[in-house]
Amino acid sequence: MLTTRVLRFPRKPFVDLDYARHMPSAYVERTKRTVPRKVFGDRFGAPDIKMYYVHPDDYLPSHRRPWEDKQLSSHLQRSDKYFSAQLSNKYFDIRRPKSQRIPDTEWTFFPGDLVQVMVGKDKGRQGLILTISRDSSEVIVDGLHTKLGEDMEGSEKLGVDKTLRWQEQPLSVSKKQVMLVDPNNEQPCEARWQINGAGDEYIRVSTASGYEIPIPSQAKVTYEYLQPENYIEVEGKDTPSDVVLERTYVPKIASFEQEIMEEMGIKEERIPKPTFWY
Amino acid sequence: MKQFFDNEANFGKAELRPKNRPGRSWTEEEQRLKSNSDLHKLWYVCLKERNMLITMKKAHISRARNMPNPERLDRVQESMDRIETVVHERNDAVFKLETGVSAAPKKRTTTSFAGFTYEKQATEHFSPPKSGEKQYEVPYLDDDAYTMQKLWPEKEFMKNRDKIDDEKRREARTEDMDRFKRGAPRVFNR
Repeated sequence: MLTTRVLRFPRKPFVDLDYARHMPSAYVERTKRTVPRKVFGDRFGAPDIKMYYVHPDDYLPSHRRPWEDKQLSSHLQRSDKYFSAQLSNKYFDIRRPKSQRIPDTEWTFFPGDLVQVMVGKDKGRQGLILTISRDSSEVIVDGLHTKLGEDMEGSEKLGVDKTLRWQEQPLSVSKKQVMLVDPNNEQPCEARWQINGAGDEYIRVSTASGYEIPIPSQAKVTYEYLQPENYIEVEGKDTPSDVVLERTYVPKIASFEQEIMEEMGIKEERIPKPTFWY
Repeated sequence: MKQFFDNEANFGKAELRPKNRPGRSWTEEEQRLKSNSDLHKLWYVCLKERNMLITMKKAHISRARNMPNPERLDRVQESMDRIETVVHERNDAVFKLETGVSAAPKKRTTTSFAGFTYEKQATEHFSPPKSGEKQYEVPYLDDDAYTMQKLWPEKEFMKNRDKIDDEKRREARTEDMDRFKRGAPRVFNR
């Protein structure tokens, strides 16, 4: 009874709205270098000792994707520095996460959302979110809260003229430096997740007026596609979705191996001797 | 032989074009819909793909290049791991129904010389254990193990206490202390 109730509960789509949604987590962790360099295991019951490239609590989140070249090289440099500091027994900060991560179920900001900047020189101006960083609970708003910065660091050494550009600076969500805009009165508001009238979906509503703030289509963008329905299937590699969702499993009282043997016509009449597990 | 190599359109690319870039891995929910023979076929499809990717990775490394989209390897590995879990689920259900024993490898609770009691995977043998071969959980520890078990939580407690102290000291630091480089004593990490 309880399980059926849980199964009928609406899915929470906002939890997996993420650019790296389909990226294998092992790969992402590896590019972040937050994996153990070496695990000293099998210690007769004592917990494992893990030596990390960079401890997950020490990871410096960024708005760039961890698998991008520039970000990857900075992670590599950082992990080298980290390791040499450990080897040379130098003082380095005790690790702790730089900011508390807001739980997935309470996160309400997505790329493409209209938000209002609450601090700085652009205080009170509204703009669209370009990127979000869940690890640092920060967003970047298009064209707002900018700083004049060098486009390419060290370009003068290469003999290229220095080019300056307005660079958007991250705004913290947990410190309420940005707020969502209520579609009712276009005032800054807070939002929460709520089951809709039909009871089959979660929607984002403004806490002030109760109006729905629709999720922008840009939030659904992942590395693989811009819109799920526009995904280009690779011939010979991808399985078409109708083939994937076709049900071919018929439960049977036979183990996987027995079924495969039966299908291949392998007959096994030998009876295994009893073995001892210790 | 050609199946060991990638599509030639992908050679020398920094990143694959969306037209040639395979999509996400199979999820467990999708694999649960598939019959055992389908999963068996899927395993070999994944295995061939993985062989191809490992070949391409080696080829790129030998020419000191970066392989385009190395996450493909992890995607295939993810699918293969999930096939294993789904097959294990099915076998487990059948074994439990038929024999009452799980399909998971057997575990033993043992006590090590240091006095830790923990779960360990048992190994299969043809003959029954001779005396002293089988490891057991021991309720009474010898002197060394007993001392170890007394000292271990003490050490853990002290580590935790130091951590809390450090946290407090860090919270007590003000911006001015950082600015004028004085105040709270510096403590080495280990």
